[in-house]
Amino acid sequence: MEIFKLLGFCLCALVLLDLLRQYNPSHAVLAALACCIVLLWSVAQALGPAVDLVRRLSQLSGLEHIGAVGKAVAIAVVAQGVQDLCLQAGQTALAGRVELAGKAAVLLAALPLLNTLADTLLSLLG
Amino acid sequence: MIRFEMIRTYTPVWSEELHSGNLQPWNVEQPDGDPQPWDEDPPDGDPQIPEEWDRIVEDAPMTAQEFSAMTLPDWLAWLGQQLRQSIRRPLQLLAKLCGVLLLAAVGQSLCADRTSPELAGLVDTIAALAVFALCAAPVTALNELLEDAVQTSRAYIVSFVPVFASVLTACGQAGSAALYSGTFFSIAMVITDVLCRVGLPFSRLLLAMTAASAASGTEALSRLTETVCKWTKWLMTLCATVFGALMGLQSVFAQSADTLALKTGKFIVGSSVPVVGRAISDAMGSVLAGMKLVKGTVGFAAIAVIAAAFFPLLLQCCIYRMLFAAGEIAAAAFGGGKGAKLLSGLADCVGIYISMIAFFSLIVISATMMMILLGNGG
Amino acid sequence: MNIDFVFKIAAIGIIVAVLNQLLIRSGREEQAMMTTLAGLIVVLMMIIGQISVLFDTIKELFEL
Repeated sequence: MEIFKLLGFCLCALVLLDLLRQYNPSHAVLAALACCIVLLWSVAQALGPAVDLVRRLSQLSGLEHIGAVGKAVAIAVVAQGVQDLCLQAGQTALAGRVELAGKAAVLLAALPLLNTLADTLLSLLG
Repeated sequence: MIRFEMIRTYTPVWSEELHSGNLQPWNVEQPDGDPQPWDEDPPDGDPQIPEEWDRIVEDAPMTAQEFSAMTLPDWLAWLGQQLRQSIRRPLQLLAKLCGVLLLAAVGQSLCADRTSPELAGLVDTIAALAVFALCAAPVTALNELLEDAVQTSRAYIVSFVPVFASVLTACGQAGSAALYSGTFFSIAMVITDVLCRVGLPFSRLLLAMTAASAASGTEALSRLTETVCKWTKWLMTLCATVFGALMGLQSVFAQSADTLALKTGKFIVGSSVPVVGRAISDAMGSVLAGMKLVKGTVGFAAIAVIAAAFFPLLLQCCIYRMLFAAGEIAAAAFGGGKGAKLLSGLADCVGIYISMIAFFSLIVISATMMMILLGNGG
Repeated sequence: MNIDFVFKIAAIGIIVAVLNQLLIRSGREEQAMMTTLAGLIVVLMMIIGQISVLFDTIKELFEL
């Protein structure tokens, strides 16, 4: 099963990272980053069929704005991952700016929804 | 000829059609069997019912006879058919809503709350906005339907009230007729104006406030909308109660005055016309009883029109309200707080529509029914 | 991209660390520093390639 391979790999990487941290802390950050990348990539591969199903359902039911929610989720996950890495490396300022960038990107992805909201409000009040 | 002259003096509103002897099949005794000049049919239309009354009865979706002929299984079958017609689109909306809520819940769980709760909160807001984009269209459609229905009923009432007042006067209830075309008419006009100019725009404002409070997530705004909804419903209940009491009291007084006038008229006719006075006053009583049946038919026609105009709308509003309540429970179960608040706000707005419909239709129907029921003992 | 990628990076990191210690002990500190830097740059290059693969996958998955 895919999940057990991933979990085993994470445990090994954990030990290696601990080892690296003593001798080469900057390298440890890079190794942690590599580990996160591999994990995120396998999760994305695993989620592929689920996203296809959601897309098919949204086409069937005629929901055009559901994509915005999915995009917001993806952006939030990636931004949070990078933010965690920054915090782990002790860079709180960087983490804060990453969060800001993440929020801005989520708002940008949700722009069609906000447009719909503004249109509806104007028609209600006008 | 003399006795009919006297009848014309005492009951000046009898129409000329009544001079033909063949009254309606509700078994009025003829005073004598000789063919009289009034036995010929008048040149136009139904000899008994004036054209306007006939038109009102024909325009109605159901007559009184059909209404009393329907049994309980008939009612249930009709209700089932109405439900089947109006439930398709709300069910589709419910399916889409569940899909969006599920997706939002999955997304919420994917975004870790620990590191940045604000980002997760942002995803929650986006999900709430998607829910609003889904539900705004049906609610605005309901709003427009309600406005159309109120305007149509207003036009109908404007044309109906004078006709029904003439029916009431023909039944000898001049006081009730004055009450109906005076107090009730003006109150109904005021209520339709208030509903159209103030109530419906106000509910649109409430909807906009609900959306804004869901998007921004502030507590105060949503609490405000809830309180305002509660006050509006309370106010409408108060107005309906006051109106019912007012109309009831005034109808009772008007009816006693009418009964007194009728009995006085019959007594005068009976005691002052020689020989056949008794028979004439009895005949008057039977004819009046016949007119009261017409009054019932015409009044029922109005009730049927108002009910038919508002019942499908009421059914749709109730379905949507239940839908939004179910959606709110689902959203709370899936963990989307803002979506749950938005859905409860939408349910409140639709609840206000239901109260408006109930208020308006009950006022019209109860006033008309009071007019029909009272004065049947004369 | 697979699991070996992380092991490769970890291996490079360990090798660089060992070389670092050796060079410091034998007194050549600038060379130690340069080795560390070189190791970091190599790892960074490897990672950047993989980051772009990851972000492309996510973009195409969610149509961003």
